[in-house]
Amino acid sequence: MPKLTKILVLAFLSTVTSVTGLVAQTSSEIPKFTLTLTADNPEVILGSNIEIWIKITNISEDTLTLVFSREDNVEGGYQYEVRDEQGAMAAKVAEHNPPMGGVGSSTRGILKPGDSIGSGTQISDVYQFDRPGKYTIQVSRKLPGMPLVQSNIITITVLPAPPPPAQQ
Amino acid sequence: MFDVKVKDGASSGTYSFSMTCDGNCPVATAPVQIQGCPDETITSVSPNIWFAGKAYKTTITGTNFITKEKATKLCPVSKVDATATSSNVSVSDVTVVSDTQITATIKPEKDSPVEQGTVTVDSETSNTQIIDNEVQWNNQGTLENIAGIFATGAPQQAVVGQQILLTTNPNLPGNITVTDSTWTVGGTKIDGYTANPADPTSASVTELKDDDLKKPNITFYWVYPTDSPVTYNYCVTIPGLSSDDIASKLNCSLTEKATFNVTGPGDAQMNTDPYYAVTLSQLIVKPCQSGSVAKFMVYGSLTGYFEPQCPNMGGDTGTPGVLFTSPGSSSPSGTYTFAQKVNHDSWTRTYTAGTSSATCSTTPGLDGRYPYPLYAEGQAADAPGVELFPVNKKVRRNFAATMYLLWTSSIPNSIPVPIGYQDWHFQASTTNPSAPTKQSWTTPVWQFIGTNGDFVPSAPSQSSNGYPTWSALAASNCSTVSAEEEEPQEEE
Repeated sequence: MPKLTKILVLAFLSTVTSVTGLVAQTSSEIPKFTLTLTADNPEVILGSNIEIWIKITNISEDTLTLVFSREDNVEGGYQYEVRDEQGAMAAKVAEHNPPMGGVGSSTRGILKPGDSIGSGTQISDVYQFDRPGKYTIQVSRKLPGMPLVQSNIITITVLPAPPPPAQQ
Repeated sequence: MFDVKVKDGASSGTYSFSMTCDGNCPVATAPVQIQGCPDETITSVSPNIWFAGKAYKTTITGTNFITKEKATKLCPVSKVDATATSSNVSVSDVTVVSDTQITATIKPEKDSPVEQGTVTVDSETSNTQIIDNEVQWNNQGTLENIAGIFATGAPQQAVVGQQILLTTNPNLPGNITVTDSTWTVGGTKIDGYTANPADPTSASVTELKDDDLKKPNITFYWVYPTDSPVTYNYCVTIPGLSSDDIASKLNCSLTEKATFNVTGPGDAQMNTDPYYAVTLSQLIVKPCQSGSVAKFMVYGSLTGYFEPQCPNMGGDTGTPGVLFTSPGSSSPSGTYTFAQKVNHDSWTRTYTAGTSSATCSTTPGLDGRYPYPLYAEGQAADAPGVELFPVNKKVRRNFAATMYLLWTSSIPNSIPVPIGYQDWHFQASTTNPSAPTKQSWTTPVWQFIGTNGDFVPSAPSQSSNGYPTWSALAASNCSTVSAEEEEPQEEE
């Protein structure tokens, strides 16, 4: 296909997509909550623990029902995504052998309209931040009958560890 | 003989005195000297700035004042008066010291507004300035002038946790600036509470400092219901005051006082329902993933999937280990929230291979979230558990936490206030004698379980005025103990 024709097809598809986007969303497509991701320390030294904070806010007029689970230092119910500067997924932390952690709790819960809950997760327990550089982090959550909701993306800069003090 | 009357207020000077008679006779004329009262002038009044309600020994400087010694029937001792546009000013202890100086005690009435005053010596006048307190407070977002309320003492209504913004508006003339402000606030009050769902890293109480109480405008929050007095005064530079005058605070306004009737949800209690069993439960490691079920030792009895989250996957059954219930509603209007701190958490695992063991502990802190999630309307629950790995032959967990109940007024910009807390704990263990070939965990044995003491109402005497505070999330760490060492003994 000639290059110009390809461009036209893409433009046509783009137009179709835009038109489709004007169709009214059904109630199941409208997010009922938002996720806001923050980190206290945007710069950390290699080897440090990295904590992130997820604020879930019910922006609907309905009370949401969901599971609040937590295992070790990680808040459950969220999908965590960490990428390096090249956009590649970071490697996950290998499970300890023999397993040692495994404590937490899991209960049902509700989130009333307008309410927010902030949760902390030690993301360095989930993904490896094993090289200096910038890492992007995003979390998402899916509730039954609702679209996937993604958070904002934050960037954590892992700085090289300082050299050990010189021997006297 | 005849009498001659000189008109009142006649000026001094030489006048011509003429006398005629009826009929045709010559007119007799003779010069006469009339000595009138001297023309008084005022060159200064010091001080010429007066606070309402305060008495000032004032010095009036001028010319031709009439002393007692020089006074005559025609020209009596100089008379001093003071007036204001809309209020009364009293004058006492007038002394004409000399023909150039008068002293008098001048006192504007207590309720005088900021307005111009006037000092009069006979017919001579000089302007002065009366200044006063005016205090406003932010009641639900609007500034309300309570100068009158300060005067009458009528109490203001406020609610615990409500943002109280008090501002001063003395409306001073441009040449007068406030040099000092002093507030006193009764009751337990704070500058703020930093717990925030957007960043639950830490939470602390910001105290209202002495320096804060010296600012013209202050913002604070009352934590506990009580009648709370508030006073305010301010000082300015008034030229002409002596050091004694300043020591007597004549450069400062009267201390105005108002009382705030601070109310709250009353004797609210948090009920705790502990479940008296530690059970073996099948729990979901990853929500709604059927292959991710694992065996746990759980305080409480929870098994299965949460039906609204994982429809058609069996549904959840059971009871959490502890269920906390807040009062259903409150008056004044507000909402209850929960916050939980982990005080202690340690667990040990004994492994079959090499008979080594792992010991894990948690640094105390917030239990993961703020506020603590609602289990149902007005309720919070916890069911701490520990996963039972097939390679373990014994698992033990020792957990202690404090659940706090807080209340937030419905008034905009309010912060949570503490209502009380409940300590609770559990310690239990289970064994798997046939590990790792067979999973046959024994019924958990618990050493202690449920509440640890009674519900403790919050009080100002408690640390951080009863607020839950933390500097980090509770975070766990584990270490492996060598095979030769004995199984570690946990400490409470």
